[in-house]
Amino acid sequence: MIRYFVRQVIGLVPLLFLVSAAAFFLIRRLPGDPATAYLNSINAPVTEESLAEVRGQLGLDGSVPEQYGKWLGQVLKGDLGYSYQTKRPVTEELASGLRYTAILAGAALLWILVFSMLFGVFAAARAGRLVDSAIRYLTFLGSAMPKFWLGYLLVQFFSLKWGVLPVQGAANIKCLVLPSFTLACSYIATYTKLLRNSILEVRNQPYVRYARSRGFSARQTAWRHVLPNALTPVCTALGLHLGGILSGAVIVENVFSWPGLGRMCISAVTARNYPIIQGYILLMALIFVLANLISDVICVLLNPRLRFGADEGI
Amino acid sequence: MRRRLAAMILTLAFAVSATACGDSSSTNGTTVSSAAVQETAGEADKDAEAATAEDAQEADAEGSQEKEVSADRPDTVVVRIRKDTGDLNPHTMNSQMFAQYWVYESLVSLEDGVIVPKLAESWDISDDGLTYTFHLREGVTFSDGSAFNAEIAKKNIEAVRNHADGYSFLQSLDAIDSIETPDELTLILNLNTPCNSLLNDFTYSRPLVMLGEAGFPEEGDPYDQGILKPIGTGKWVVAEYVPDQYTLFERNENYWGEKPAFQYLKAVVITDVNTAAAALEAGEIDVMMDSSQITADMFTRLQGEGYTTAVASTNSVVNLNLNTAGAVTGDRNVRLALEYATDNTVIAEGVFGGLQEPATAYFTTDTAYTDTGIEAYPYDPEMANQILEEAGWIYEDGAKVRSKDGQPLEISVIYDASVSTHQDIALILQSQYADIGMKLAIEPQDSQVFRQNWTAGEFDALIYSSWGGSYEPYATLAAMASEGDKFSVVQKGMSNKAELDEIMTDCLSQSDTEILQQNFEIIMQSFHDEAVYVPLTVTSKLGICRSDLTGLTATGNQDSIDIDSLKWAE
Repeated sequence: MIRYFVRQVIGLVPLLFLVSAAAFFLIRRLPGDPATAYLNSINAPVTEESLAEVRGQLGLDGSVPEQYGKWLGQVLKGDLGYSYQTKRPVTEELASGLRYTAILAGAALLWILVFSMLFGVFAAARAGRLVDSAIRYLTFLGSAMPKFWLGYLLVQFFSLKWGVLPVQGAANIKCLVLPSFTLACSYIATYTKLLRNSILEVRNQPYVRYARSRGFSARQTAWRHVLPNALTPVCTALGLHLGGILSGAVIVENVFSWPGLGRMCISAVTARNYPIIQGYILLMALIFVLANLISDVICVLLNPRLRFGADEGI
Repeated sequence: MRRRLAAMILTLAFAVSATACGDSSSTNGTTVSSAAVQETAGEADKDAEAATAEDAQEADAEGSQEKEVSADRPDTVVVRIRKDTGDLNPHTMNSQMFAQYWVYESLVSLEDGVIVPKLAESWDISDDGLTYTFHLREGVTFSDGSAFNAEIAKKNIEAVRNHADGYSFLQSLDAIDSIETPDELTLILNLNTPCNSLLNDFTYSRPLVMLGEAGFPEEGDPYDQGILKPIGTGKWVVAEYVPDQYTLFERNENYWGEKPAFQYLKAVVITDVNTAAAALEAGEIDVMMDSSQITADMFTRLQGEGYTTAVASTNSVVNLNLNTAGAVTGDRNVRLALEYATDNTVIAEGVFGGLQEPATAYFTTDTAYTDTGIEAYPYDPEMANQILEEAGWIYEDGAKVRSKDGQPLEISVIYDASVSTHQDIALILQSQYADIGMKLAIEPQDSQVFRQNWTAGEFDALIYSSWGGSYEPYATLAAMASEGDKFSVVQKGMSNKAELDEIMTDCLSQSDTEILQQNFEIIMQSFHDEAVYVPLTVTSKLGICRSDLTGLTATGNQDSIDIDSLKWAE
């Protein structure tokens, strides 16, 4: 298990190297010049002289491979460069944004787990009945709604009509409720369905029937045998989705003025702020891989049968 | 079994940890900010602390939110800003201009198109235009209590001049030869060539504004080394800055002029304009003002609900720029037909709800020297049809689109897709041009792609708002006369482009006002005769605030957020 974990972590190095090269060269294929974008963003006239001056300032005056070599050298020292717009270190900007996006994604995960566990278990227990169908339609409705529309709808009721939750900001925990729920909504449907089907499948396994025949009550069987095994696919999917939840918070962050990575990344792409985009892509790659790794570990802990495979380095 | 239970707990913890961690961070964040406010404001000023969103929310939850919120923070006005204020370095371009106007001042400022005194009470210009003597205002101090005098003014101008290459749009930096300070309140600028834009250059929010001594880095200049503190002579002082969230300003008690009524100004970053409107309705912010995001629908709806509003015309004009070297638009008759076929009153009403005035020329009428009395083309589709017929653009075989020598009368219009109103303008133009047998394809583009195509001359027509602000008209003329600049590209096919470039360049340094006026007449007449620009509307700045605030005024400066005269209603 430990050997598997260590091997995966070591495997990260070439992966991140490839991601860094892809990020660096691909974003330079985007149409649009960052020096022009910079001058426009500061309302300064774009002339040949001002462009040359800004290119020098932003380190865009060498060839692309030269720029990459210089940047990679800095990255290896833990320096991701400076934001073209704010002149602050990229690491500082990303750390600030990541903290808020992690809070948002964490809270969204909580909503996902609570609602999908509740709906999933309930739907499985009442499979084929009216409640099962009602939950299915309800969750589909949630996942079909565009995030920005759902966000505005929630603001309309919870903030403007009833005045119980704030519209925007990140000043306190109340500010977290609406954006995290909006972000979670589309995932709740997926996990409800996943858990429901998983429970139904596990419930028919021989070891569950054996447990019942050994005299365990239905409740004991459900908690000790059905649920832990049914959670394995949920956990795997969570690992795959965590990166998606983090990177998919863009619209929600914009609607609720949440100071996270998504908002930062959108403005960076618009302004061709290369250092921020490169740093963001690297960070997201790291998070995707680490989230998968953690979910693998949890799956192995949940299902001891997987441990043998893990030790052999699956 | 224990292991599995542990795993289940771990699964939950996997999700919960970030949240739990986040909650504490968030709470800590609030505590820190509140503490910082208290620290800044002192014990007696707890009202500012009450301005935190948390308290506002508590008030909201209890209902009748507006009254309770205003009662909780009588000394603070909360303003929505679209982007983070930045580090407020006055000698670089990275901070938001409205915030630089709040903190810093220059020698002069621009009000309604007229240059008026600011830190200089008066100024003399020698007959040859080579010596500018500024008589500085007495008794002005920076927010840290240090004196503003000729020496610190010289230090600021020198610091900017040291990096003149970084401000190529400022014509005056190259023109300034030496600076003298004969006494504390006299500043003399000696020029090596006359420079008509010099006073205008001192009206910008940057870089020729005054930073206090304590703000300068120990070595180097603010341009390359940053600033130690944002110390200015303006009405507001930075008390707290939380990047990407908000900046809290405190009233400058040392201000030489009339001070704002509010003791604190909290500028909160809300990117989305719909969210900002909802925040205003929920009582989380007090004011929102801008010239690009607030829509006519939003403005009139909130006005109807009793919110106080203000409108001001800026000196930025939305124009349809026609590529004079384009395949179809290179034909002057086509451009002329487009002038007659455009009814900009429909755009002013249909897109901007009457909040923007139809424009008459590339520059607004109050832009220096540019109002030369030339009448704009009237809306006359029959005349447009006649011009096209006579030029050989005819309907062939019952076609709906005209053509000439097998070339259909089809053009495309490009615009920056991030400006939502330009889409609506393009749709109206498409319908109006269809009436004269022209097909207009609409091509919204990413901001950078749009500018790239513009610079490369790869367009037929484009929608763009002129710079406006105190840049006009000199910086625009300099760009138009600069070969390769996108402003010059539009004019490439003009029959008198070479001559026009010389005249525009001459305008930048011509000290004889009669010749200057004649130059502008030639420039404006050429734009008109060659039908290069179809003027659409004059951009307006819109302001909305809660009904219990008075004194909301919007100035014509599109880059400022005007909150200085705001106060609670009696």
